[in-house]
Amino acid sequence: MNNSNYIDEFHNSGAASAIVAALGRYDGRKLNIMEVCGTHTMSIFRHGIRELLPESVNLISGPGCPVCVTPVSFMDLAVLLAREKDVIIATFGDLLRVPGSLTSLAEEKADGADIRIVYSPLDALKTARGNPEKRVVFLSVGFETTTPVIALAVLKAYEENLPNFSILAANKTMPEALKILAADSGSRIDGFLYPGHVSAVTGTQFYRELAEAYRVPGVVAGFEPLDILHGIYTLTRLCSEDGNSVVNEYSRVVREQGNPIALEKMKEVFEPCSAIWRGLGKIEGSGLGVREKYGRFDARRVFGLVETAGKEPKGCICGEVLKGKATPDKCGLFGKTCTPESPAGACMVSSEGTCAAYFRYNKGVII
Amino acid sequence: MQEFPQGRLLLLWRIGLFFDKMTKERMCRLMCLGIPGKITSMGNGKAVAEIMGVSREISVELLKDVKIGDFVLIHAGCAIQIIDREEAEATIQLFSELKDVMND
Repeated sequence: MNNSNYIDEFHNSGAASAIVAALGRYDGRKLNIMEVCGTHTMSIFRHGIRELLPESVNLISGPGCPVCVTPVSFMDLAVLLAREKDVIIATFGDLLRVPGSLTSLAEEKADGADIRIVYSPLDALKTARGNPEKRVVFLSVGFETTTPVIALAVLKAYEENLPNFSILAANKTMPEALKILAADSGSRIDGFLYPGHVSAVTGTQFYRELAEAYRVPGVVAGFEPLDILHGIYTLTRLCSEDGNSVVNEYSRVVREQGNPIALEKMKEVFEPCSAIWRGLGKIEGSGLGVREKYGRFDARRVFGLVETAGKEPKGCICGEVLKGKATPDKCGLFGKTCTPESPAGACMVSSEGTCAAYFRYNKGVII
Repeated sequence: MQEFPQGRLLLLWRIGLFFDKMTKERMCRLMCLGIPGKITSMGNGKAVAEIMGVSREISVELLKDVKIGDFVLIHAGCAIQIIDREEAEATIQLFSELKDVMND
């Protein structure tokens, strides 16, 4: 595989047809499989994977999109900071159009606020170094894939004694949310498709504990079409067995122990705290706050911010969609007052949100 | 010293810049996307990786034992794991098994 780019081989249509045929032969009970990663949601829609599954295999999109579960109150704080004359906001592109209670960062930017899109939190450090008279605030949103990179940025800021850099943290971790989903008898999840890149950092131990405790099997899968199709196929087989197996099918990138250096840096900078997940409410121990040692890089401390309760748009059912209890087309706002061009809720704004994916790839379903 | 490209070459150069910019913008917008890239140079705590034809400076500080020529999973400007080529081959084998069974 000398000229491999580790992407194309996982798009092989011959192998895909065979897996789809094997799935077609599934004749067991009806299964609800939940995928908990925004990138999986997007890939599934982009490759039309739902259409390839038999009727009895139901794929649910879970709360795995960090932008979608960021509460409105966080966006309100970001807007507050953006309005300060000496503040530069550095953010991932996805957050730009998420509606706050009254406005969004995109609107503030149009009004003259200095808001810059960055690909990496390390780029936000460069912005801080290059603008010593301004205060740079990085909007720190993400799960375990992104958080170590943000931790690295904070550690570098600490080493360099950078006086004008801080992060506004809304980072979250998956385990506590997964426990709630597994235990929720209302949703009846039979199996999980686990997020490949979060797992590359965390390892797979927690999934095995969850499988033991709640008898919910899981497959760790990558994001190419073959990864997802084969992952679902394996899940149909695991669900027919005793129900506490976890299979790692993304072994090219996911090791049992994950990435110990990334985990260590995460623990060094952040400590667990409770967090509000849009749609799921408050989940204890599911958030990450900046440790006291790095307090001068914590925007909440630096700017003396107080969280207020954000206002969700009336009629928005992002919460039910995130829990897998409703599909986007059941929302009264979907396709009418909530579209990718003018989103009402976060599930529509994020390019990996369930509603955005549904809208883009299911156009025929819209009334 | 290069001459400024003329005529059709200028057009091709502009199209190239456009696609390069689109790739970079796409990378900015998709925060969750982790993609494989090949390490082409390393030094002074920094590394350069080639990602889908675009070269970019990335950090390798979350990994140890990374070498030039390694493929790594890159996310938000940082390599977060080395791609294990043997495991990749094994997975491709696994995914092809059903196809082989069908062809028997």
